[in-house]
Amino acid sequence: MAQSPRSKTTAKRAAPKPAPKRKSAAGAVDRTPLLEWLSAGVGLVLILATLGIVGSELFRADDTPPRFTIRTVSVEAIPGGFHMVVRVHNDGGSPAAGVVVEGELTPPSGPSETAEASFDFIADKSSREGGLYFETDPRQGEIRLRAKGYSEP
Amino acid sequence: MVERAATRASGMIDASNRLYLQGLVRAFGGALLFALPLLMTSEMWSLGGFVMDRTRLLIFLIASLPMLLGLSYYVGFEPTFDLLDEVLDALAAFAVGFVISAVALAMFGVLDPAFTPADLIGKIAICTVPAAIGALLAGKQFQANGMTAQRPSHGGHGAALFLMAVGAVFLAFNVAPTEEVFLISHLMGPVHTLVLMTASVLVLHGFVYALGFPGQDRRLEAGGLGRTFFTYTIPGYAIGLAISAYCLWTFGRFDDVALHEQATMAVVLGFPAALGAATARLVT
Repeated sequence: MAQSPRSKTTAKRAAPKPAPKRKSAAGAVDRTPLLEWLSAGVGLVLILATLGIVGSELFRADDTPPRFTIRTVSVEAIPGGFHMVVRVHNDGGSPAAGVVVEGELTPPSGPSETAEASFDFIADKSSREGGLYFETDPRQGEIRLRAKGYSEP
Repeated sequence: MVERAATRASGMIDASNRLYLQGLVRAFGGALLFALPLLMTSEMWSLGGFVMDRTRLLIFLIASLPMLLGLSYYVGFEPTFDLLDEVLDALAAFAVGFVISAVALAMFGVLDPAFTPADLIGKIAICTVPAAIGALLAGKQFQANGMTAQRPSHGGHGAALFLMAVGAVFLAFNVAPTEEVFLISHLMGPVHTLVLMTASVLVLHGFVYALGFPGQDRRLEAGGLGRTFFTYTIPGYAIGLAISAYCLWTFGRFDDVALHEQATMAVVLGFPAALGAATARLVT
């Protein structure tokens, strides 16, 4: 900027127009700062990408109800029992809220026991993990995992 | 000769870049200030992610673009001189809002990679709009140099109503996604609703009369109390109610709800909206 520091301060206080952004009368030099073009460009790309991704969801046309596949991730012994991590995957085309997952463990001997975990939200085509607690070792017996129910978010 | 001219030109570009960078930093500050309460609201995460109807999210995003442009014209985070400049600033504000939202949500651990990309983008996108509004209000919030003198020239009745609408969005949007709107409307009976409507109109009128209208130099003195009431207060409240209803519909709060409940919810949200419209002069 071709201004002395003093005139710059006055300009700041009084005049609302920072000179550099005005286009010259000749119009030869476009003085819109490069940074302005850059950030606007980033903005344009982000807008188009966002609209594209959100819009493409509209045409996906998958509104099948939630379907869950549940698998065991890990089992570890903890004081007083066993902790089993399960991964619930929603294969369906709709999200589900309040998903209740039950694990029923039938040990080689003795009575069977059940454990339950509920998941606030499981989006469509997405997974969530949770834990089930058992008194006997789930690795020894037969385990049945199932989703008991959900509600629409 | 040519070299010297080039040096001078690059010097100018540097200076204008620096000025713009200041504006951009202001924009980030404004975005953070306005959007943080929303970024830390769990309803926003679930709404943007997968709960919200995609068509409504798309409409919301598209509808926000002209509003950002209008804000860039009336407020902005740096002085603007022509339409191109305003469009560029509006686009930049979207970028700022997007970056702020993405970084904040990632920091809070909301952006779980287990979700689909569309969910993640949705979560960021729904927070981007209020953040971008905040970015464009930054000029006023941080009393940017050389920005206040630009405004009054844009004034007029339409400008005042637009800025009232922005003020209404500014406040209502912070409350709209929460469960409380629904809860409060459940607690309220018809008498409560009428009292709240009256209170909203009175607050709006009191503020507008005492503070003056957004986008105007001075408090409008002509017309008096009665005329102000019909030309500003009533349209202002109508805008507030309409924006409330739109926000509630967008967030799916109107789905499978009886008409009188919908009306009560709009009135409940209309209170912060009216307050926002009334104080638009302070924010814009």
